[in-house]
Amino acid sequence: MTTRRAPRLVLGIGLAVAAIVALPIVFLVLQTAQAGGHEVARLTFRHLTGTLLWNTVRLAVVVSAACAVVGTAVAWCVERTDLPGRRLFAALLVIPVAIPDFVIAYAWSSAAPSVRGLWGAAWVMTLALYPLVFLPVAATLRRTDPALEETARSLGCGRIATFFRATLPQIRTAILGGCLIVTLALLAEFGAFEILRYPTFTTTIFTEFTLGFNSPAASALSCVLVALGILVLAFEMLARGSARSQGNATRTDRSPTRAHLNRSRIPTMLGLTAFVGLTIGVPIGVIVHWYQHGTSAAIHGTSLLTATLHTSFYGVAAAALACTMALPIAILAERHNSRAVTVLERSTFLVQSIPGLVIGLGMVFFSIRYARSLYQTNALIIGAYAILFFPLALVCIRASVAQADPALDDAARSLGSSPVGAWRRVTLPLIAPGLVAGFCLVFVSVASELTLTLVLAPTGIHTLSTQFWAYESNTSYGAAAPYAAALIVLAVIPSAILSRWFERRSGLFGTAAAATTSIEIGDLQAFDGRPR
Amino acid sequence: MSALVATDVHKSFGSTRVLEGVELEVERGALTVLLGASGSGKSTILRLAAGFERVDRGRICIGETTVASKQIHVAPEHRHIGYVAQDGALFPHLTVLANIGFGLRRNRRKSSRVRELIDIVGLEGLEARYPQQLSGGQQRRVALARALAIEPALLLLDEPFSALDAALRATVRDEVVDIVRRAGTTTLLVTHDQTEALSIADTVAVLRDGRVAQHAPPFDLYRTPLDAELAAFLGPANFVDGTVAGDVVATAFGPVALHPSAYANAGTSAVTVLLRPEQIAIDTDTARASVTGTVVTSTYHGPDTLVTVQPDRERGIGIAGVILARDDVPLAPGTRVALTARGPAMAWNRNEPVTRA
Repeated sequence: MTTRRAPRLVLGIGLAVAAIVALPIVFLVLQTAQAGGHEVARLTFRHLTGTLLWNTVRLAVVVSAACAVVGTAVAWCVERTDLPGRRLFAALLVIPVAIPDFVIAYAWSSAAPSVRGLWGAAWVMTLALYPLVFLPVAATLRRTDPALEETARSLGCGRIATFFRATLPQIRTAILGGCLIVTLALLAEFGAFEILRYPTFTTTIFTEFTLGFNSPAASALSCVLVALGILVLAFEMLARGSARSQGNATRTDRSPTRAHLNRSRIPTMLGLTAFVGLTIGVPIGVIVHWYQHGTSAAIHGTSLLTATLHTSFYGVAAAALACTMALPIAILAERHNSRAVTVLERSTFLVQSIPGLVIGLGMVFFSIRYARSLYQTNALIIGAYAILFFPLALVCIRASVAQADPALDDAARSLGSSPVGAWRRVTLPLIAPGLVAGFCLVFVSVASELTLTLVLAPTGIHTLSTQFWAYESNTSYGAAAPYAAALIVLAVIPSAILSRWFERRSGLFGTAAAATTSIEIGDLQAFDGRPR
Repeated sequence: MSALVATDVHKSFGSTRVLEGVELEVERGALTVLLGASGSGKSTILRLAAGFERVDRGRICIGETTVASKQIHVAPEHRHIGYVAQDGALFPHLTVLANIGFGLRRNRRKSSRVRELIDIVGLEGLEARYPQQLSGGQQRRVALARALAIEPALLLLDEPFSALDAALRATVRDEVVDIVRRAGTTTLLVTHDQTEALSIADTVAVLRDGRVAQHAPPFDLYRTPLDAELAAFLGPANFVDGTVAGDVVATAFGPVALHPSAYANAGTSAVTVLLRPEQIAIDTDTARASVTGTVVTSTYHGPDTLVTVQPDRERGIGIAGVILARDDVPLAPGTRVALTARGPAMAWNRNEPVTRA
């Protein structure tokens, strides 16, 4: 793409947005610095930090490895075998990414109290996070040239040797990228670990903040957490970068030869069905069970409705704000690629590595110190959501801006359209899908957000997740069940519509677009559900 | 002795019938080209031979062994066939050396055999490069060396030059054909390009409507195709009416000698005669010629010129449309010319309609 100079206005807006997005980090650092160097060192280098670090690292290793194996295996079954019903399985296998992790944790721990500690947490988080590996791997499998595998076969490799020598090297970066995003999600997760009694940085920060209002300790730990996140993000970008320079073999317009499962067809189907049962069936089953049999079960119709309305309101407002903010950055990054713009875009992606809790705390410090009147207002929480999920909106919108070739804009101008007219009649329709996708993703993410909401929600306002949390915390499983159900419905339905709609669109746009679209879906769904 | 024999091969994808009874023999040591329009199923034949797809009906034998039939399906890795995909399908994560050695056993991957192949395909000094650092032509040669490394009984090349740009194409084609011929490997190459097929093949098999319509050496195929449709598919052609009398045919151009293989086809006396452009001579002296006309267009190619002539109505009876001729100089449109035909010519019974001209 040709590099054009960015118009001043767009560049100005972009800079402003980047500054806003970077706000919480700045406040966090300011807050920590106020405690003084000696105090920060004491709070940072203590035994607790070591324990939390050990907990985080071993969980990250176990869950990443498990997600890599499970995610790759199911992706291969769906994309490379003649498994009956593979399209249905593909749809079902994505769903856990839309179910809040704390709901999955609640289901398992209330059904089997022994699910706790490292292995309990690893079990639950693997079931909740494997789609983050499954999606990019499936997308990569779909676009790698099947001729590579066929050539390996013709050169004498059996099916298994072909997988390890020809297929695995192609999907290696997708697996690695997925694992790093799994790790980021683990760093940010609060609700699930609280339920599973597995202390991590996030749970400890939250406890220190709410119990003692011990902000220096909380912010010192937050800094460690942010540093960890940035480290993981750096690895992720490195992995992506090397993948790009290696240049994957592009696929031909031919569907891959699918492995004939023959006798292992029935066992494979049974296995996948059982797996879907574990990931979706168990949470839904447990919710239904508690609702029917829980002693505290009773639907407070009005409070459920109010909570749903609040959640929807926050979702819509934050999604609109995030998309508005992301649009100028996306246009800058795609159409006016320069070093400054790249730095700008990358800096906004830093937010991706920062857990919702840390952003929430940053906003609390900011409002208490500098804007007292904003503290505990809807405006502040909506702004915080928009910052937190800004990367999601940016990924979607950027992908669609990339498809709207500026040459089309030029063509419209040469045919007599004014700049505004060209924008309205050509560019906007082309990027509309990205805007819609970004909106939906941010909405879904806001709906299932817990920690930032707990920290920033105005007094007296209850969303589905905070209400669920309140009941869950005093083991009123029955009372919590309807909220969990509402959360799943609110999150799963838009996701399902979104992915169906993406598939239809790729059918319309032909195979070339299908390839790019599947990358996008892989990419953006990989971001989906990350920080909550 | 044939390296590959396909008998009555059928293959459908869903409700689309692609192959409907293909008969094909690939002679050992020869370069056979499978020619067909896009979508004619020529790649499918390769994929069936390689074992990537299963046959619905019929049988494919490699050497003495049946590798594919309704009951039998030998896995691709056990067929010992070299397969080169359209764009080469080089493993992007492996170097040139590792790509070439991929099909060899671990201890032979850096053996003299690999060196020798690098020599044969002329890639010395590029062993440590990755595929994306190579030009299109170099990539093809690596793919070829990789397939040759396993010393296949049969080499399958699926449109190996179609993704290259025109300038590179002829060079890479000559290189590849040269390498294959020197290695003496039996080769089946698929293409949709008639010129390419005619220029490199020992024999050409033309695929049409899911069957092999004709399988013959290039010159025979070009000059004596089985029907008018094949004639038009294989290159520029003129069709004129004629009446057979013994071993000559009377046409608007006067009597033209018939090709021996035309006797069998021309059962009756009323025939359609095939005259290739190079069988039509152009003369600017229009006095004594039986067919005269006016030049419409003249396309200069360098070595020769393809000239389109609109014959004069009264002297061009039995000629449908314009006449294509070759000459060595370009002629300005509007030039008056005389046309003479040179045999031997192919002819078919006129009841067989000319479907494409």
